Parts: sequence; structure tokens; C-alpha cells
Amino acid sequence: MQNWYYPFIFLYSSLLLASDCQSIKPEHTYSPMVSKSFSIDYYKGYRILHRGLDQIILKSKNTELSCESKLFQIETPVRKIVLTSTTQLPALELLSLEDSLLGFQGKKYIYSNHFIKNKITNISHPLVAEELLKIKPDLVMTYELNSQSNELISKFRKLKIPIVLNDDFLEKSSLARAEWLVYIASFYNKEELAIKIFNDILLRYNLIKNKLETIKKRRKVLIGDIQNGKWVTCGGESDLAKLINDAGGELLLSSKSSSTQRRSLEDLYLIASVPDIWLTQNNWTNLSFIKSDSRYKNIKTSNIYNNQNRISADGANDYWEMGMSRPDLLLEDYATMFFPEIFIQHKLLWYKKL
Amino acid sequence: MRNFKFIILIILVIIASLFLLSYGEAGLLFNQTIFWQLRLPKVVVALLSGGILATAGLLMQVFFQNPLAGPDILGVSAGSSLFVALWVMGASFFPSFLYKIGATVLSLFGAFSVFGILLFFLYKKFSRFSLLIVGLLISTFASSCISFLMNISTNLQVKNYLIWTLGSFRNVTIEELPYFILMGVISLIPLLFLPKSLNLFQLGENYAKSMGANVTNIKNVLITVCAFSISTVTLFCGPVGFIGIIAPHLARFYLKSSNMNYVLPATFLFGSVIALLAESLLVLTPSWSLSVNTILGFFGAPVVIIYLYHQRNLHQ
Repeated sequence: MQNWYYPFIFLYSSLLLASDCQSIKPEHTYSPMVSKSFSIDYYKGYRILHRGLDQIILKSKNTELSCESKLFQIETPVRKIVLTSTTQLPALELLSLEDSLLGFQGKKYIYSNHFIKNKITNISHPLVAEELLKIKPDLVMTYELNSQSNELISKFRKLKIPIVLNDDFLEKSSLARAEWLVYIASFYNKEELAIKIFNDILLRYNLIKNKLETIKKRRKVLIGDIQNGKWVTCGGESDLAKLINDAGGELLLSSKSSSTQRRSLEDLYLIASVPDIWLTQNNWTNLSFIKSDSRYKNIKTSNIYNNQNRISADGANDYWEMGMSRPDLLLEDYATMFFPEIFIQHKLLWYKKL
Repeated sequence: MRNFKFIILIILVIIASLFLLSYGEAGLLFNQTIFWQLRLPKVVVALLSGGILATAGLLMQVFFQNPLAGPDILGVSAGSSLFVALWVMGASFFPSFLYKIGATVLSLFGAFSVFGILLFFLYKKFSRFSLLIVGLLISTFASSCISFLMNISTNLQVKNYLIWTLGSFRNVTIEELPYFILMGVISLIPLLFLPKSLNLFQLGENYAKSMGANVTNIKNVLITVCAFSISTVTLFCGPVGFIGIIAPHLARFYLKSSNMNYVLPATFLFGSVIALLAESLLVLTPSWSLSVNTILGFFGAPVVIIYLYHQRNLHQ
């Protein structure tokens, strides 16, 4: 009876001795080959997923952690997922997990028939907690638009909604963006398969790139169209500019920026006779718009393409879906447009000639 | 002295125009294509749009007897913007024929729909202050509709619409220029006959009536001229702000007079100078990707505050 406090001492000591999950040395760490935006630490019985400052513990269902942690925990493998961007969808398709898609923000923007045929709940934009609590997903994956997104995430997590951010759109290269396949796969315990798929993509990409490195005459490529009296084109350090460069092209009106550029039409007119190829960044389906605006007549090339080849009946564009996850195939599209005599076998997937 | 002040204003307009005609983002290059297709339309549109918006602002200020009234206040710009937003963002929700009509016709339709509503209320003997409230409510209604459309639209559609709202004097092609000049001149013709009535009207409705003026007719003409001229500019350049508020104040301050025979043409010239200077700044800072509305807001707000500071003794 005198030792009634022993169990309390034992409990207190155990709590003190139980180490912090983050402070334990991981068995090994997965660091992506191209992307620098996420990594996975592997421990016995759990994993810690790092994305920026956010860290999440991934653990199997009904598994008790032997360590202490205040980190948000997600039970894997997830079975029902809610996604918010078309760039996140191909990961499920590449991993054969299409049936796990429970909800999507803006169903009409989905191109792939693998998802359309399933019963998917249309999710509101912005995300509504009550709606998500009703359909009870195992995971909600959204993207960060502003500083308030982090507040939204903590609010949802307090409500026990398993939500994570996906920053694939912030990547500076299409390969790095494609590597987020591994990030998504980690919630399904399928990292190995995802790494294998990505390595194949990377290998194929580099094969095409290396094939074109010996090309002597690079194609002069003009990107963009006239918007509000300015020529709107991609930045010279954007993912698109890198793809064009890797496909043997030389981007005209290039800049030292990764963001969209608004250039003067006078700048355009000075190089208007130079382009070999013009890639318009809009939803034109034919040349009628170009013919109706005399300012376009100065661009002296008949090789005009845009990425409107794979469009669903509702207007969803596969370029913003699978195109974002298969940089190897996208590179092959560019290479075929620039050097059709070399890539005779390849049929354009996302681009088409106007 | 007054004539000398007008000559200075005209010289400013000429200098700014010549600068923009001879210098562009391509430098001091004289290329026939660049001159005819880019620089000339840009200068004519800036000159005329600036003047039209400024005079419309002056008419609004006289009509509402409110120094902060401007082209936006009647909801005409908002009506125009709403229909352009419908065209840009709502294309997938509406029948395809609507898409084919295009922004041009829809913008005009939007402006004249609001104009029709205002005329209806004017016909129903609404006071000018009630009309002001109706204009503000129309603007709020249009903003709500646009917010809703932005929520349900794709990023590309929202981006296209937002770019249009930045305003630009560079949207008019050489082929469209004659139509713009024609509509602009039509909207300016009634101004030749307005100064006398405006002089009476700005002293108060009762005074104008006692002097034998037909106040109802003046009101109708003012509203019609404003709606038509604002919709013309919005149609070709997007919603361009601030010129309508700043230019009338600058003109009065510059001339030290409220006589509409002088203030009206001076306001037009100030509007043109402001628009041409804003465009010149855009030309000189090509790498900054600025827009007309950014520059006007940046310089316009301090100018109005300085003006109000100098006028403080007059209002006490």
C-alpha cells in the first residue's frame, strides 16, 4: 500500500524515456533524383514524409507508434482519396489505383476515361470541411495557393480530416514535377513501383535529349499570343523553356525568369520573320483567329501548333493531366514538331498543327 | 493668359504623341510596319480615350455635384465588364452562339443595358442621388456575378479576364482604328453644345430652371453622352480607371476657373496628356510588365490627395 505511487513513477519514466519520433535516426532516406521539394525518412514501423516545413507520419492501420510525436499522422495505405488538381490524377493511373479516387474538385476538367467512368463526388472550390466529413476520405490532397493554405490545412487537421499539400506545380522542371508520383505513391505504400516508373520516364527523357544534343541547327521557337496588346510568352527559365531547349529548340524572346512574360509587340515584330515554329498557348482550333487579327500576319511561319489535340467533350485537356506527368512523351512531341524527319514514328499526342 | 495655358497643354499632347510615335520598346527605330500597326493606333487610342474618359468624368462630377464621381460610378463600366466576364469565363455554360458573338458586342450590350436601366429610372423621376445609388448597386451586383463566375471558371479563363481588366490602349488594331475614331467622335460631338447648359447646371437645378434651362433634357443628354463614351472606351481598352477623376480636378486647378467653356476642353486635353504619359512610362519600363491601370493608380491617388490638400481652404 505504501508503494501506491510506483505505477505513476513507472508511467512518468516511460513517458520521459519514450523518444521523439523525429529525433530517431532513420533506417534510410529516400531523396528524389530531380525534385528538391520532398523526401521520405524510413523508420521501423512508420515513415516521415517531409514537404517543406510540413512533416507527416505515415503508418500502417492499427499500428501503435513506439515513439512520441505531435506530427499529424496518416494511416496507409489509403483506400479513398480526394484530389484537387488534374496534375495529381495521372499518378493514380500510372499506379493502377484509379478506383481509389473518391472525389475531385471540378469533375468536368478530368480527361481520362479511367476516372470519368467511375462514380466520383464533385468537390467544392474552395474545400468545405462539412462536405469532406460527409464523404470520409482517407486522404485529401490539395495545392498551396497562398499563405492562408497552411491555416486551412491546420484547421482541417484539427477536424480530423487527413489533408496534405502537393506542390508539384511549383517545380521548375517537368521532370521534377513528374517525380511527385513518388510522393503520392507513399500514401499507398507503393513508392518502389513509383520510383521504377519515374526512372523509366527519366531514362526515356534523357535518351531523347541525348539524341538531339548533336543537332547542329536548333529550331527557333516562338511561344505565346497577343493578350491585351502585349505578347505573352513563357519565361526563359520555365519548365516549358527547358523542354524546348532539351528538344533541340531555341526559345525566342527568352528571358531570365521562370514566370510568364509580357513583351512588347515591337519586340515581337523585330523577330517576326525568324521563327521556324510557333506554339500558341491558347485554345484555338484553327487559323481563323490569326487571320482576323492583322498583328499576327507579321509572324512568318506556317508551322503553327497548339496543345489542343486531346480534349474531352466537356473541354478537359489531357495536356494538363497526363502531359504534366509524362515529360518523356511531351519532349517527344516537341522533338517531333521540331525535327519531324528524325522522329518519323512518333504521332503527336498533345500538340496539333493548326 | 488662358490661351497660353491651352497652348502649353496642346504642346504637351503633341510632344507626348511624337515621343510615342518615334520611340517604342524597339527603341528609336522607324519601321513602317511597327509605325502603322503598333505606334499610330496606340497614340490615337490613348489620346482619344484619355480625353473621352476625362470629359465623361467631368460630366459625372457636374451631374452628381460630387468631386469624386467618375466613369465607374454609374455602373456602365461594371455592366460592360460583366458581359465581357460572361464571354471569357462563361463560354462553357452558355450556348455556342453566344461565344461567337464575342466580347465586342457583349461589352457594348452590357454598357447599354445599364444605360437603359439608368434612363428608365431617370424617366421615373429618380433624383440624381438615387441614380448614384442605383449605379453603385449595379456595380456591386456586377462584381458579385463576376466573383461567382471566377469561382466556377478555369484558371486560364480567370487569367484571360483579369488581363482584360488591366486596361490597355494597345488592343486596337489598325483595321479597328477607324471604328474607334468614329465612335469616339460621335460621343464627343454633343460636348460642343453642352458648356452653356453645364455652367447653369453646376450652380444647381433650381437656378438652371429659373434661368430657363430644360433640366430634364440636360440630364438626359449628360447620361446618354457619359454611357456612350464610357462604353466606347471600355469596349476597346477595357476598364481604365482614375483619368475620369483626376483630369477634371487638374483642369480646374490649372485654369483656376469653373467656366465650362474652358474647363471642358482643358479636361479633354489633360485626359489625353495623362493617358499619353502613362503609355510613355509603359514604353520606358518594358521589363516591369506594368499595365495602364497600375500606373494610373500609382500616380493618380497621390495627385488627388495633393489636390485635395491644396483645396482644403476652399472647402472650410
